[in-house]
Amino acid sequence: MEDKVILLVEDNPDDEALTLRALKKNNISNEVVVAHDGSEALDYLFGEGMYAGRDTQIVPQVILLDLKLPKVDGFDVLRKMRADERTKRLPVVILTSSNEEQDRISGYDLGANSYVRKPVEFGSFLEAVKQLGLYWLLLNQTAPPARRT
Amino acid sequence: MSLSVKFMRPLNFKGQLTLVFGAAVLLLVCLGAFSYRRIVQEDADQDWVEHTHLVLEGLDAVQLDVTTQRTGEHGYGAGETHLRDDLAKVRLLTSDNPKQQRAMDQIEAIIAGTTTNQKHTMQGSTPRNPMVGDASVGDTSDGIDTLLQGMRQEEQGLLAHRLESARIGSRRMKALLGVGGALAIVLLFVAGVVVESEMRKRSRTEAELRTAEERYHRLFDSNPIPAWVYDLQSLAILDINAEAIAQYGYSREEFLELKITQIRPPEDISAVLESTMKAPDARQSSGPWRHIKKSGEIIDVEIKSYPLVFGDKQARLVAALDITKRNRAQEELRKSEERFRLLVSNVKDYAILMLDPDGHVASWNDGAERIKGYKAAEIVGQHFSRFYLEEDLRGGKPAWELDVATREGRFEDEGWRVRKDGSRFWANVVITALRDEAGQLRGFGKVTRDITERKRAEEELRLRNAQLDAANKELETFSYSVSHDLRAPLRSIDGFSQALLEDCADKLDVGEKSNLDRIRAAARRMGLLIDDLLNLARVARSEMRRERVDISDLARVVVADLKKTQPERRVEFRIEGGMEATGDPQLLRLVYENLIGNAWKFTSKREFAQVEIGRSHENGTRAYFVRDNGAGFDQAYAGKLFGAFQRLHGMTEFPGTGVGLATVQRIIHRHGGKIWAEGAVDQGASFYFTL
Repeated sequence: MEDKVILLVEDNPDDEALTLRALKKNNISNEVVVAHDGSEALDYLFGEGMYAGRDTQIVPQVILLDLKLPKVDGFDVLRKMRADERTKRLPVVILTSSNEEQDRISGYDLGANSYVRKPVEFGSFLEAVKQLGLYWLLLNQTAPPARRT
Repeated sequence: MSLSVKFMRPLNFKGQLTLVFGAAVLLLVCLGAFSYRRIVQEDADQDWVEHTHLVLEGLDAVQLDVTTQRTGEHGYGAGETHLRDDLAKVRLLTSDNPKQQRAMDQIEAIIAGTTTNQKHTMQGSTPRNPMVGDASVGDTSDGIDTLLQGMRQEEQGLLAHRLESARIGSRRMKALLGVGGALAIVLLFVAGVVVESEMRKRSRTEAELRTAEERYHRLFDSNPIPAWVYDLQSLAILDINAEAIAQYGYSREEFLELKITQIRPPEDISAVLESTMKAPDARQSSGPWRHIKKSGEIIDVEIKSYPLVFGDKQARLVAALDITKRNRAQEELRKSEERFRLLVSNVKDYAILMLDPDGHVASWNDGAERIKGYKAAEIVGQHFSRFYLEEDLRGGKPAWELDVATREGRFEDEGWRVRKDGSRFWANVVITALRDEAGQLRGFGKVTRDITERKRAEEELRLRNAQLDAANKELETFSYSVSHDLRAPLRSIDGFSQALLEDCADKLDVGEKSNLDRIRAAARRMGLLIDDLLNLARVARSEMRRERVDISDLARVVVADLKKTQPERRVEFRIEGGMEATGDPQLLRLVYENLIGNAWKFTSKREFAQVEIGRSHENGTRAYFVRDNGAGFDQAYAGKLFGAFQRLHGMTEFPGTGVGLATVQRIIHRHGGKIWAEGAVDQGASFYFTL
């Protein structure tokens, strides 16, 4: 389980800290890569920009994606991910404070696998993270990696 | 018909007959004349025959005398006188015939000679007549005989000649009589034919006349207009037709006993008499008169009357047309026209006008004057295109509108029109093609409404709507950012407070820990508030759907969810089955989430919590309710229940933002319903609403 990577796409440093804390509290000690905006996330996924040269064969087990991101927002990241052979089957959990219907609709339309609302209360947040971790890291089976042609 | 009659054709009957009879008469006269002449001739001939016989007798007598003389028994002396007498007779008889006279002369000469000779002989003297010579008496007698014979022959010849001529004459007469008779017969025959043809013609004419009379009488009788003939002297009715009998109610017999004065109302009689006296020989058209039917009913009539000879009386033929109905119909028409005119002319909000098929104004009403500015007098006859704008005229709009109306029966349009003073107004125009019963286009009806005001109002409405939409859009963006941006810091507050609590647990005392707890609680509450506010906002602006919603089912789902959040609680729910409503499913769900949620919350202190969800008839209206046996509320403060942020309980008693009921109320109002609550402190609360 340790070699499974979690990609956290979150621009808010507080939320980032809290999420990492929650993961730690739940004994989820996988490597967490944090992208602070959409373009960073894409760079990581496709091995470009600041992540140029990364071995893109190593793909995250799950991507926790916030929606409101500077530069490239969550939906664009999702769109680009789903358009690329290398990343289109990666599980994406939208983790956002928004409960807007339209966001949920767009999220699923664009191919998100799950939509979780960030609770205000930290206790609930903790619980949510725990469940996410248990499910996506342990129970869920990912698709086999895309074969490089 | 014989030729003669044929060429007589150009003459009339009298001429023809005159000609034929004249010819016959002429013929008869001629025949008569000829016959008369013949008879005279015959008499003459008869005389001549007699005469000739006398002459012959005379000659015979002379011969005898001569012979007697010759034989001389008596000698010429005694018979001389006889002879001389007879000779004289013969001479007399033949006095008209010179030949015979000459013969006579010769005879007398001979006789004289002979006689002288005889005398001489007797006396012994020489005959002085050389002619005689010495001949004896016997010789001279031959001479006389010859002469006499010659004379006889002459006379006989004459006789034969006369007989011949008589015969010829009589043959001619016979022929003439035959021909004449035949001709007379022919003429009579012709006359007969002429007369017969004339008679035939006459009888045909008579027959025609009779049939014409019959026909005319039938026409009179079957004339759809009542008619009668009355005697000019006595005013009695002489003949009556079927229609009059039918209309006036009298029988034929009764009618024929009446005078014309009896079918008039008494007050009109003197006028009637006057008019009949006035012009008895003229054709008259008069009216309206009044007639009385047998029933006493008075009708108005128009009279036409003509002079007529009926039988042998001076009379008048009268035709009386009942114009009561026509009058009444005209009156009706006038009234209906007046009504129509009243209607059209008085309507001031609509310009109602008529156009002729070419588009010229035919009629105008008050509304038209008010809207377009023209008075009737100045606009009737003008073409309706003067109500249009320049650019419309150039585009041929007026003509095109009429064209469409003609083809499809009507034309409707909204557009600019021009008033008399040049100002524009926005008009709603309907042009209808007016067709008569035969389908002919008679003109157009045009109804125009000045909707400038309405247009302005519409424009404003559009503007406002646009503004509203813009505002809504703004609100939506706002809500969106609120939902994201406001919550994030809250999370941080709560999260890091928690982190502190956990990490510094041993360094903090109770009070300090409690402070951190309050911080966290506050953050949480704020989160709830934000959620509720967002809901409220969403409810206000979201598009409402109207569907049939199964309320009972909805309630059950909400209850089930609620139970899941606090499974340890025991609450008895009674949900009425079969409840249905028409509304927005999501919003209605919010309503029940709130109401049932409240009931759940406020019965939390009860051991046996009961919540009832159903329908009732309150004051005659059907209402949905949610009832609980929880903490209730003071009815006095019921008015505040639905205000936003209003709470009737302390935060520590029951958590809540005070926005829930405001949201519910907003939703109910959007459904067009009402919501109210009843409750008492510690005795539960009931919330009713209608949709």
